[in-house]
Parts: sequence; structure tokens; C-alpha cells
Amino acid sequence: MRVLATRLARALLPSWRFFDEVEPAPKLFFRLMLSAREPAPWQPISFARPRSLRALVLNGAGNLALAEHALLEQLLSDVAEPELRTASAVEQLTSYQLVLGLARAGARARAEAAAGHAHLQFKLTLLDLSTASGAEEEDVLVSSLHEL
Amino acid sequence: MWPCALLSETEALLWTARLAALSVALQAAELLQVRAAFAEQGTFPWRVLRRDFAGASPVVRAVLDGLLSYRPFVALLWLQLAGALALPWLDGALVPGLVLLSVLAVGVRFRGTYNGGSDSMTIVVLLALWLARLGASFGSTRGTQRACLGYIAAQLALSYLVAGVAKLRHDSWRDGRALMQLVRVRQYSVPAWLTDALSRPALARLAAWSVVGFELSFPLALALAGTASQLLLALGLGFHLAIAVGLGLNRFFWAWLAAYPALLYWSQRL
Repeated sequence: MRVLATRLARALLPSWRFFDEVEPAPKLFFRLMLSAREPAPWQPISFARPRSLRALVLNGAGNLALAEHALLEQLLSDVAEPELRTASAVEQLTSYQLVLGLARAGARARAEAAAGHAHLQFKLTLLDLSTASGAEEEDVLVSSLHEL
Repeated sequence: MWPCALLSETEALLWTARLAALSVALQAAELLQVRAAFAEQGTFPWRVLRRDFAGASPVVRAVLDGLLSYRPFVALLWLQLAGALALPWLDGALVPGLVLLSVLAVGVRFRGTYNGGSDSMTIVVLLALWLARLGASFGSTRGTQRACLGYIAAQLALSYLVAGVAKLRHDSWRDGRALMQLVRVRQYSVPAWLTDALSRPALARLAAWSVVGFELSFPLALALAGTASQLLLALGLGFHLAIAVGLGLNRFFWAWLAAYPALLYWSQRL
């Protein structure tokens, strides 16, 4: 009930603090593996969607991509909780399982690359947008191996 | 046509209902467009999302399963669409109540909100509409209507003021860096011409101060008379249109538009 109450409270009591701070943006990568010794290169999953003027009215794909990207931020926020001490506890998180689903979907969307591979791994990096070059990345979470 | 003449409470609420109907109908249509993502093989499967409610009572879990698993959820979205379209045409508290519940259910399924602040403003408007009609069905009309319009107008003014104050506290907004960084966030798919333009520090600083200045001054729309107030409302529409074009946040335009008649109503009386 606490989860339900928290979610309703979040919906009913808005904070209205839009974009007060532009945090480093999380980025999702996956890599496919035949075995733990044979990893393929990391590949990024893009959440950017091209949009036309029509998207001013209906932007289903764009807003879905934003909701999917928000899962990365939720996962980073969840793993920062001090009571999460083990990798298996992290893997039990709903946000972890949802991001794993995103990584699987990203891998399967590249059917050619995924063919013949049995496992995948994902990682989150933080993209620091404040640097002059505009892109310095730091790994903040690397998953264990999961079935593709 | 935008209502510029002196609005009565009933007219202001009717405009609110019309614009909320448009906003919620578009939200439902968007979710229906991408409903495959909510199926068991999609990126938001209920079998994973329901883990958050593992500690809830069996009754609550059964209700949530019956409402938010794939097929019932798609049915709920169709109901939301139908309810939204009926909102301006059917009197009574039932329709706004059901539409409000459906928007809250979407938020619960998506771990709080689906589209952040636009969901919140939609809830503010629907809650006020529902309460206004509920009051009317119990014989309390004018006072309740005024209070409900006041609630929307206050939340609308606060939404800009709080956002403006929060930005003003950060150096990165005062010197324009925040805006330069914001347009580089890839998931917003900002058009290249805008990223290029805001990579110039002087232009980014000017644009950042324009945003902060507008947000801080918007509550004056409640206090200023006639044309000045309407000018701020027009600026607000331009502001949300720019956000929709620049960042792809189209839902904010429609959700905030639905709250404007309430502010117009109160600006004509304060």
C-alpha cells in the first residue's frame, strides 16, 4: 500500500521544479556474448526519435522513448539506496529488470548482430554534458550476464 | 476562438473541460499508438511492473492485476479516450471522475508518472473539474466553481514560479550553461539548428534569462489587468510551443493550455 500511496502522492502533489539542474545523462549500452570470454563490442541504445510537425499533436513514439529513458534514471536512483548491498539484490529491482528488458529489446532489434549469441550484458554510463567537448562518459553500472 | 470577454464560472469551466478533453484524448491516443510496449514482450510488461506491489494485500494486487495488465490496460485507455471526448458534452461528476481515475491508473502503472509534469497538470485540471461538478450535483454551484478555478489558477501560477525560482538558484542557469547542456541531452532529439544556436554562450545566456524571467513573471498574469494579462498568457503558449518543438514535450503544451481558462477567469477578477 505504501508504494501505491507514494505513487498517488507523486501524481497529486507536483513539485513543478522543471530542469532546475541538468544532471549527467545516463546512457545504455549492451554487448552480446557467446561466452564470458568472447564479448562483442559495446553498442549504444539510442532513445532519440526523429520527429515531424505531426509530433506537436501526437508524439507516441517520442514520449515512449522518454519514458523508457526515465527507467535508466530510476535504476541509478534505486541502486544508490544504501540498503542494497549485493548484486543479486540489485538484480531483483523492478527498475533493473525493466532496463534489462530494454537492453534485450535493443539487442533483438539488431537481429543480425544477435544471431548465434546466447547471452547479453548491459551497462549504464553517465554522460557529463558540462565538459567543453560535450561528452565524457563514466561507467556507473555493469550488469552480470543474462540470457538473450 | 480564445475567450477574451468576461468569462462566467460556467463558461470558464466549459473551456477547461473542452481543452482538458483534447489534452487527455491526445494522451490516450498516444498510449494506444505504442500499446505493443505494454504487452508482455514489450518494454513495460506488467509481469515486471507488478513486482513493486509484492507487499500489497491480495485484494489490492488482484485489483491492480485486473486493471493494469495488458488487455485491461488497453481497454482502460480506450475508456479514457471515450471519457475525454465526452467530457465537454456530458454534465455530472461521473465522467470527469472516471477520466481522473484512468489518468491516476496510468501514473500508478508507470511508477509515478508516464510523462512527468504534464501528467500532474492534467490531474490538477481533472480534479478541479470533478470537484466543481460534484459540488454542483450537491447544490453548491458558484462558490465551488470559483474555488475549483482558483485551485487550477494557483497551481498554474505556482508551476511557473517554482520552476523559475528553482532555476534562478543555480549558477548554470544564470550563466546559460544549463540551457546549452539541456539541448545536448540526446533523448530530447533537439533539432540541430537549435543546438547550434544555443552553443553560443551569449545567446544561451540570453535565452536562459528569458526563460527564467518569463517563469518568474507569469504569476503577474493574475494581478495585471486585461491586455497585459492576455499578453503573458500568449507568451506562455509560445513558451510551451517552443518546448514542444525544441524538446519534443508536446504533452506539456496541451496540458497547460487546459489550465489557462481558469487563470483568465481569475485575472479578470483580481
